Amino acid sequence: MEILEGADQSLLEVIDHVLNKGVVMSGEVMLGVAGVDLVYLRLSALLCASDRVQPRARKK
Amino acid sequence: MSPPLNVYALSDAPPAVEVRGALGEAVRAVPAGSLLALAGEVDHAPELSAQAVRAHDAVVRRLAAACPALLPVRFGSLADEVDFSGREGELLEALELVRGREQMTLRVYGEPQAAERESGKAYLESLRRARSVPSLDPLRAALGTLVRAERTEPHGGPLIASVYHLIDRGSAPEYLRTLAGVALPVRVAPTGPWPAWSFAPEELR
Repeated sequence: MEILEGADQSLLEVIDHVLNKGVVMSGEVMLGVAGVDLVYLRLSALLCASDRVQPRARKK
Repeated sequence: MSPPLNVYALSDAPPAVEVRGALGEAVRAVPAGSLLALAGEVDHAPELSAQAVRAHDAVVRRLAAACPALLPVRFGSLADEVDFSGREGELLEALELVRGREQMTLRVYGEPQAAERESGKAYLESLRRARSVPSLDPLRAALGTLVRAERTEPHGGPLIASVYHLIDRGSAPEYLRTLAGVALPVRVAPTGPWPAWSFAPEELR
């Protein structure tokens, strides 16, 4: 998914809130998107990756 | 059959001003018992893209600015009709909790602690400890009553947890000033204020 290729932390935060949080309505409601699980997995990986990147960047 | 609704949020009163949805459609307040679903009429589910996600976020923010009590609904929630029977009580309680409030999100980075495996009791206790994120206790003490409610979400790995704090609207600068002045054994990355994304009833998250 091209939207997660960049290291745009603010976009990742928006994605995590909008796709991963909020009221989930059951029953009559469907998710109109495919591959959502993939997005979650990669988001979590990138949030972790940012931890490894940022302290190193600061030391320079 | 009426066109499907793209639901952005729940509230107990209509927005104070007219709000447009992600596709420029008018957002209507659709009654569902004593709740209102704030939704736009659309003819198809939104395609997942960075732009669509940002648009949903923007609509929820506009609605939050126009509604004192608002629970955001997850992206892509399409409904032909809205029915919360059986859930109304807990949703109304959650709306009361978030009324006049907003959310700060903390990503907590540090050394992950392995779960105890020696006994069932030790295992459960280590899960409870991970969920309570004790490394933030000095922050909790400093923030005091600025924080009206807290939700935590433990993760594995260097991102050890996400912590969500519900604060009164407008108190984010004070929250961030307080956070900056507290020494913690973990690194904490704050974002916000957000609408109260993480304060829906547990079974509906």
